[in-house]
Amino acid sequence: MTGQRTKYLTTTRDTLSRVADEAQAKGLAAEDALAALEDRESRRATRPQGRS
Amino acid sequence: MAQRTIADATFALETAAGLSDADRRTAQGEIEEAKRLAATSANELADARVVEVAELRDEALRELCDVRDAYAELINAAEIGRITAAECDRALNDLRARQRTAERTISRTSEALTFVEAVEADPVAYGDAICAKYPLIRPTFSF
Repeated sequence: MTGQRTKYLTTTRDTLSRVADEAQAKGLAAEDALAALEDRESRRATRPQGRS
Repeated sequence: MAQRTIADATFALETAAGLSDADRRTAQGEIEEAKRLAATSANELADARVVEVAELRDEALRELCDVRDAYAELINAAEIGRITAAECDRALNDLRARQRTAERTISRTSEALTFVEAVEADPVAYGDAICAKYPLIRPTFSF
């Protein structure tokens, strides 16, 4: 058992950290996407109405 | 009879003068038994921490994968304009909260790892350190 617990916990921590890092990166990209969406909505709102 | 740490008992035996061989053997046997019990206790605590992490692992991993994938879907929805900025903002906040919750399992795993590494490095020393902290659970020696 000695050593196996450390190995298991290390693998578990590294696996969770890797996916958390992937999620973190996607989260940052999602923030960029939100900023772009807000920008589009803002420009649309200030665009003169009644023109095609 | 005295309640001592294993370190104290070992020191006491090493510095005791005038002990017969039989008494010394008896005392040494008590120390060995105390070491066995300390290692057993420390290993049981380490096993319990591993079980605790194992119970959290699958759910945390699933949640982090779900959050990661949901971020990707959110990006897509935002880029094609399928949702409003307000909806996107709400969804983003929800995902961030879920991510923070799941990431607590990483902290708990790291804490468990530090603990288990200490136990595995020297289970007797770890068990004895606990006894040093809590006098009432120190082993009893005849000397």
